Amino acid sequence: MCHQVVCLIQEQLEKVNIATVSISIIPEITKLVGCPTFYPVPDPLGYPLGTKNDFEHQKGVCLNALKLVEYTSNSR
Amino acid sequence: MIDSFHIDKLSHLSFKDKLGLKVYPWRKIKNCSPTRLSKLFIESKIALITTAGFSLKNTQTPFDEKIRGGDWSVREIPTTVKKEELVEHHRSSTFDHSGIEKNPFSVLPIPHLQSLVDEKKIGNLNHRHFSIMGSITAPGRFIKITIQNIVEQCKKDNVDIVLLVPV
Repeated sequence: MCHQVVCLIQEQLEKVNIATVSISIIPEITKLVGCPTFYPVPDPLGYPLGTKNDFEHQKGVCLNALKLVEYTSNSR
Repeated sequence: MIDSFHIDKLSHLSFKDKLGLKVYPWRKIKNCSPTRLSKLFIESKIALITTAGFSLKNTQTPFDEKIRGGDWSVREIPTTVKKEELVEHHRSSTFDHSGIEKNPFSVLPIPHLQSLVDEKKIGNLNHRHFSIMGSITAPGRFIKITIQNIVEQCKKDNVDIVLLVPV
């Protein structure tokens, strides 16, 4: 359900021109709901930024996701 | 409809939970295209939203797991929050909560984004972020009230980008 509520928030933020990106653990759900921009990760539920509690890795996931906003914005 | 019986990451769920996900009437977003940033990425203000159901110890009401359809309220989390102040109230038993309990910032990456700001890889952080409890099966009130509240706060803060972290 987390993925659905995240997508629903994204929809309303994008409507007022606030760019969004979500992490997606279950892309099948994210795609089904129709999320505009998401960053799929290979990790299990409960660990959206990775299972190893590795600060640098988690930081990298955040940066990659945010860079997706920049890429998407520039490509429009 | 999702094929919840054949998604590896859902394989640990019970038959009942898988069936529930398969027949659940998922909401669908229509005609939502990504926003073009009005300023440079490196100058953008960023806010976070987590679905972990965090509330601040001693100062905020915990999320209520007894609310039918899921607690649809929201908690504001200041950027200056300490790890010890965050208490998780996500009601779902379908995932391992131990990682969040060990490090709440693993699903609310404020220090991570602050480090990226310090390294000048991203712009700046908003002074507050938002915590919701993601297990909301009946999202009507959440859509009508809570999301609109979050949107208004983000507009008021001149947030440019929101990073959302489901658990």
